Amino acid sequence: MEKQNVLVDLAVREEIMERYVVDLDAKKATESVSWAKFGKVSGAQFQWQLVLETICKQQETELGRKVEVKDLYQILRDKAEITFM
Amino acid sequence: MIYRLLIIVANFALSSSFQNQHSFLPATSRIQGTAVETPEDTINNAKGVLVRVNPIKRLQVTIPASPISITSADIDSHIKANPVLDYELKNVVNFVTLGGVQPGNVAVCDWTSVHLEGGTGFAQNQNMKGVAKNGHEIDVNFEQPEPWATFARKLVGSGQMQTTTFEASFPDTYPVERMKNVRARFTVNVKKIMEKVPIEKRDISEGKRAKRSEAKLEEDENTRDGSREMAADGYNRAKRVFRKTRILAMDLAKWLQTATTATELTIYYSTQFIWLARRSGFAKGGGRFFGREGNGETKCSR
Repeated sequence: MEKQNVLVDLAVREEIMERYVVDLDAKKATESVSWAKFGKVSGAQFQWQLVLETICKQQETELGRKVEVKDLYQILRDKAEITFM
Repeated sequence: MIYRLLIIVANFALSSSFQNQHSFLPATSRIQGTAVETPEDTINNAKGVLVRVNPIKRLQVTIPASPISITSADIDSHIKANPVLDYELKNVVNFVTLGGVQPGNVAVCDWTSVHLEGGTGFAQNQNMKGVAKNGHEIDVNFEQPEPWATFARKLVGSGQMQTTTFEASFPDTYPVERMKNVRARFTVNVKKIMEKVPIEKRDISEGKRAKRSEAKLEEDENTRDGSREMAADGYNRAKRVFRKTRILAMDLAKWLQTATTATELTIYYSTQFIWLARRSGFAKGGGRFFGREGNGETKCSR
């Protein structure tokens, strides 16, 4: 199941980054952390983290309770309509 | 005429209105201006970055793989491959007196192999690639399948960090196809000699737990008493030292008072000693200390 979760998480990430993120200045995001140097992968990971935090806020208003980023993956998995090919 | 001119100017001004001014802006910013600022969007600018994400209503995800299903056979094979150990490995400390590796021990070995005959894909008298292992825990048990039984037999009596070379063959029934009927020369270095020590099962029943907490309380009390004793000891010792110092100081003061000639002597003194000496009439007798006050060697004279 863990393997499957990894696959679902990756697909969910792609879907959200492609279709749901309206505005995210990649350059500004990486420059906001002055002490770190970002490569292609770590930059993308940092952007995804920012998006996750934003979704957390959404979910908090929707569910009416505090939502941690670590719990968010399960919430997104539950929301996802998965099609296996 | 002037009136007509005014109308033309007014028309021109209207045609090149604010809409045209806005056309200088990049197209995207205009689109964002309308599309983004819906009340449902969430903005995160905690790190000084504007992140806008549309509310997630329906996530349609396609995974280019078949769903992973776990059958009971999979679970069984996993349990078989990773059994729960009822023992732990501990070093055999007295392996020298016992005479090296003994039956029942576990020898942690590094080994390599040289091909002699049989099998497929191996060159004769060459190291067999992939047929070697570091940190292999070999059970010294003669009842196990070959070649491990030969390993066990040959390792008996071997000391720690001792290298043994022997020949052994993989049987016809060996599960790896290319290894069937292979005869090879193994060079085995015993890194550690260990034995299996059964793990005691923890009983966390109520009674035991209560007993344990009681024992802990008792132990705490004992340590508390112990510390009290230690403190008392320390106090008594300090008292003894103080008494001794006072006697010494009084003696010194007396000696200085009775001395007729100017005398100088080297003493080891403490701040406490000086204080006591002064109280005992040391200064009255004309004695004085040289050097800095404190623990150390100094001189006093009269």
